[in-house]
Amino acid sequence: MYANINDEVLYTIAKIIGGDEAVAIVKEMKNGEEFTVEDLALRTGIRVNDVRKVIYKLYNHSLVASRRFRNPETGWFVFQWKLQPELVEGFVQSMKQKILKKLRIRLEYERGHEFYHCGNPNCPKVSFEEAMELVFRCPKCGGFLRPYDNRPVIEALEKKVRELEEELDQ
Amino acid sequence: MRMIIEAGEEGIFQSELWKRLGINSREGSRLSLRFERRGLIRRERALYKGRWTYRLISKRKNVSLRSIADCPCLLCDDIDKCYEGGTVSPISCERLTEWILLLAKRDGMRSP
Repeated sequence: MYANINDEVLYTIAKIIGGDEAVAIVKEMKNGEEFTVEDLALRTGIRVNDVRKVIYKLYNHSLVASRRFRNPETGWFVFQWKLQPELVEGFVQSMKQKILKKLRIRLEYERGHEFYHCGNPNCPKVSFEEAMELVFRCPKCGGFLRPYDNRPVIEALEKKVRELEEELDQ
Repeated sequence: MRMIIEAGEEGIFQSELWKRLGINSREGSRLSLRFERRGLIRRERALYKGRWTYRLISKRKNVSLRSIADCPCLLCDDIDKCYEGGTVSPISCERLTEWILLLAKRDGMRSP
């Protein structure tokens, strides 16, 4: 196991990519051995087709690599798959970058708009422009829209953006 | 280097490491200086078994998902289709809004 990735992070990522089946497959592969899809199906009890689907999902994120060789008896190509835990760090960094980008967009939007809300926690807040069009009536419950202080939202976003920027800078 | 990384935030005493690797302190000191020069580790002077030595600490942090673990974007199939002005947008996404409100609440702030 690559030293700066612990199993918990590896399994969480497997779950994100391919659910519980991916976790079971990654657990089998984490010792660095090479496996065919059929080997993994036998070891995990998951159907070969489902193992293949999970392996392709992991491959799309470069978390597994394959080696191809020809079976001398059948003449068919056989693929052996190996986990690449050293690339997990790259995956995590890229997810953090994507999320950071979205939070920055949201932060700019929150900073640049005034919002109105009816006070009902199940109703959405609306921007000033939308509130004008709605004649200051909630689009969901019809209640009267009042100015909504979004400073806590801005502060929470600023904090998370800072946290992610610091982590990505390290 | 792997042994230093595995020692985590605590680090490992230089003399202890050489013993485990079976190398002498002259070779070991050169190695640790090289790691330090490359920015891979930091060396802290420390007293160990009555002798001054260095504690070697990796600068490499463990990969952590903690900061984004509960963010809905992490599990969202539309993460690559989500942009400002798109059908899925970080501005209008309800799940993202819920998460941001949760963050605000956790920070002890007001939320609707």
